[in-house]
Amino acid sequence: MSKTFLLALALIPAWAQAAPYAIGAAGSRIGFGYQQMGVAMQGSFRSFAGSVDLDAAQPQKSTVDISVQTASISLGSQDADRTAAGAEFFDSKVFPQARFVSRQVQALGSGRYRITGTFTLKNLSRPLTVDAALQPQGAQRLLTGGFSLKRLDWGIGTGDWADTSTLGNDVRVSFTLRLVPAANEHMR
Amino acid sequence: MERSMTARHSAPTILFHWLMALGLAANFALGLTMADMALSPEKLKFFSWHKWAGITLLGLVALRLLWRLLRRPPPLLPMPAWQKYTTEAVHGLMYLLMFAIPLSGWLMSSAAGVQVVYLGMFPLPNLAAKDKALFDLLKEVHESLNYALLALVLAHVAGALKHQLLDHDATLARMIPWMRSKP
Repeated sequence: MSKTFLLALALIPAWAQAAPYAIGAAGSRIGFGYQQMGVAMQGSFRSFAGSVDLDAAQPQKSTVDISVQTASISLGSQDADRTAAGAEFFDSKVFPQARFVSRQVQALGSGRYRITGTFTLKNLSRPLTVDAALQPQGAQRLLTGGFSLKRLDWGIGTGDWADTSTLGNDVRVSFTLRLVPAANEHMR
Repeated sequence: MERSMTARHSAPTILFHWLMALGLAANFALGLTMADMALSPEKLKFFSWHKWAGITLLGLVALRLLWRLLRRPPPLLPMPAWQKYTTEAVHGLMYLLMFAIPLSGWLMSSAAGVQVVYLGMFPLPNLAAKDKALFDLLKEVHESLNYALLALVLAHVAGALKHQLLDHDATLARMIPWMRSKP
């Protein structure tokens, strides 16, 4: 390699490189809120993975790919978890994963991003836009944000469970993802 | 003396007594029914109704106790001392449980991480933080307290029937508006 090339390489600031980041399991959370008989309830997914490569300088090169194991749902009781993983809700045996993939990222400034992609849940794939904020944390980054959806649009809760007076239709998904440089995956 | 012996309970006292008797029996049956149901929207409704009824009964027993303190019930009819003590102990314990049972249920819901929202409209404060071990304990406590109240209610009914059928006194009549007291 020429000295000029090495010099040029050294001059590229580390943050400008579109380096891949993986979601670290520790310190990351994907949760959701919903209404049950007028009571605000919380749930979460225990198992998810993916990569998030956001680049403010080159948003068009950014990519997001997150998969959630639907059977890892946690609602506070085994009974509820079993029902949620069952055929009337996530049907986890047939559709083990929910997935969000985006190659369309818009930098909104001051660490905020609008991420537009395709969300796949059960047998449905539809466009979804998620607003998120990215904060550096040393070598790692923290991505926080959320989005709202109607569970019935995605076939979550069929049959008797389609009754929205018992189980509300509005679901607010929120996430905190600790992003670890993919080269340092041992830090996960 | 003669008048106080046959004096009826006051109208609010009689109303509180029968309203709560009915409410407690219905909510006890609802509690037993819902506990064995598979998870369904119906079960979620039953759980909420059970909690709303429980909070209503808690409010009723508070008003009832307040009324009892403001207006003392007529004295017990003549009976052996041990019967008086037993009667008063049963009444006292029933009052205690009529408070303890809804409170233990409310605590149980809090420990489960499910806030009680009265009638689906009025959120009540959580009495405890979400805690699985505490929930499991409270579930046992709530159930045991209910069976204790059932035992006391059976003793209470047995006592009333004894006064009516064996002693032929006015004990039962003065709690029943349409019943004539025996001479």
